[in-house]
Amino acid sequence: MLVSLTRVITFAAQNFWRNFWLSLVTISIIALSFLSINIFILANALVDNAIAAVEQKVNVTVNFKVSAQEKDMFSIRDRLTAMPEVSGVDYISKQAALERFRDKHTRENDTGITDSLNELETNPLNASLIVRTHSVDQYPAVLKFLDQGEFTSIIEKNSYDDRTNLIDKISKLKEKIKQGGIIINIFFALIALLIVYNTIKITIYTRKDEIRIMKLVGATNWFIRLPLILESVFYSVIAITISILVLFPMLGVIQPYADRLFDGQAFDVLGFFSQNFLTIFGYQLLASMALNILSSFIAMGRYLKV
Amino acid sequence: MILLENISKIYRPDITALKSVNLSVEPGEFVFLVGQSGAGKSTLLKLLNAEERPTRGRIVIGGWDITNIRRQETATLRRQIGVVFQDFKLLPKKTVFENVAFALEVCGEPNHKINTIVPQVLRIVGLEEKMKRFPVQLSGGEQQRVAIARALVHRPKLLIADEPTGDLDVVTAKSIVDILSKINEFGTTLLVVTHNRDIVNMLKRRVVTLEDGTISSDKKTGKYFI
Ligand SMILES: Nc1ncnc2c1ncn2[C@@H]1O[C@H](COP(=O)(O)OP(=O)(O)O)[C@@H](O)[C@H]1O
Ligand SMILES: [Mg+2]
Repeated sequence: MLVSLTRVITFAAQNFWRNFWLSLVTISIIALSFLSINIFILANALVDNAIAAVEQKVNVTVNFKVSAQEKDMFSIRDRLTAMPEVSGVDYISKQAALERFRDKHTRENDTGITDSLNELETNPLNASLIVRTHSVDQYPAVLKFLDQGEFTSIIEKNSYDDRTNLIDKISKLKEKIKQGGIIINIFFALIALLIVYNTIKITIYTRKDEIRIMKLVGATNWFIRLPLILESVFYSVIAITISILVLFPMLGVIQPYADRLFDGQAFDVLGFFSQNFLTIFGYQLLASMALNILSSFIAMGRYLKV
Repeated sequence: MILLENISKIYRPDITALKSVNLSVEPGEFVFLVGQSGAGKSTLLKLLNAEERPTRGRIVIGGWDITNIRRQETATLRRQIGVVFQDFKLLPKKTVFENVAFALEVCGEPNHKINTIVPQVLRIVGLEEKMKRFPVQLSGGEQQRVAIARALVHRPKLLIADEPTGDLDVVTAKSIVDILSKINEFGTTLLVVTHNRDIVNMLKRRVVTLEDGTISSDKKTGKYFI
């Protein structure tokens, strides 16, 4: 058993070195597949990040009537906060609204407006709630809650209607991007799969005479298969190492472009790959080894029938 | 050792390589198989190591009926037979040493045994100096001798050889035949296809002649006549 194991490893290593150019070509193709998959993963992450950025900017503002009592407003705030869909509620009192208004216009040196405000005796602004949900498609739940008859006396009618349209659009767009993404992902995975399978098939094809000879000299199928399968595992391990060594310097080049994509809200591409290193590359390695083992196993089949 | 009963091999409806061949070879015999090109000699040998299956008839080797041998069992059969293929069939990515060693490795022999036996056998065929070369770095005759070394290194009970002296000069051919004779003396049954009239006549062994897929003559101490 131990003898066979060392033989399998020796044969695999010998095959690998003595077919150096073939191994190199095979590894390059697999490494390129890895590289494109990782760039694709990055693109996915950037799209997700973009959606999240848009989602964060979306909120619903509930304007209260001037007559609304503070305790009623607080009660609505608390009930909204208790909803599982809601991620945050900010209460802006009349006073706070006024200060914000002043601040804004002072900053813009719009003294005309602030002056006219000062002439008013009462505060003309309404108190409001700014409601955010975890994701855009959760807004309908919030709106449904607000549309209940019990609040008509305190909430300004149509105060949030203009927003619902936009939220709806964003929500639909997000859904479309997600669906499209799944289709593109499957398509892409399929292409990578076919490329790798065919590459392995060719490397096995070039050995078909050797496989036949080994059979005629009395080798069992497994005695022939195992070194070739182990060799294909070498391909995976080396290819993923190369793809990582190429990918990380590339990320440094990509980072400035990613920054420009989202103003303010930067996406750390290097951090994304470093923090998810084991998940991203571990699964890729496992998947690739499984694919290579399966491919070489299938590709060998017919040549073993001697 | 070998029993062929009513063996026919039809490759395609229009190509009948063997027609109702009956042949029996006793253990320890040394048999030459002669005949013109295309007579079916290689086909007969291929049936013995299950490289081809007979269309009709029955084959028994060493008491084992291999007529309908299962694919998984061919390895066991082939490890007990030494074969010198007409086209050598050396592994191009393995050295001379490794090619010969391979026949022992498939049998699961330990390395220390391989490391002592393989150089001995290579010395017998005169290639101990070229152990580390690859087949492409050898002449045709040298490749043939590697093939012979591989066929006999695991001391098979039956050795079949398809024109093992084909590419060799007279002197080397003679030395190969000497080796084969020696192996036969140690008890290995030999079935050798050859075109070499001198060798057949010199050894005075049994000669089976194939003609158009049938055995046309079978002489105990035969002469080469075609
Ligand atoms: N694999 C094959 N497929 C079809 N015909 C074959 C095959 N092998 C041999 N033949 C035919 O069978 C006949 C016998 O061939 P072979 O046994 O090689 O003869 P020999 O070795 O005596 O020269 C020839 O006509 C040859 O063309
Ligand atoms: Mg022939």
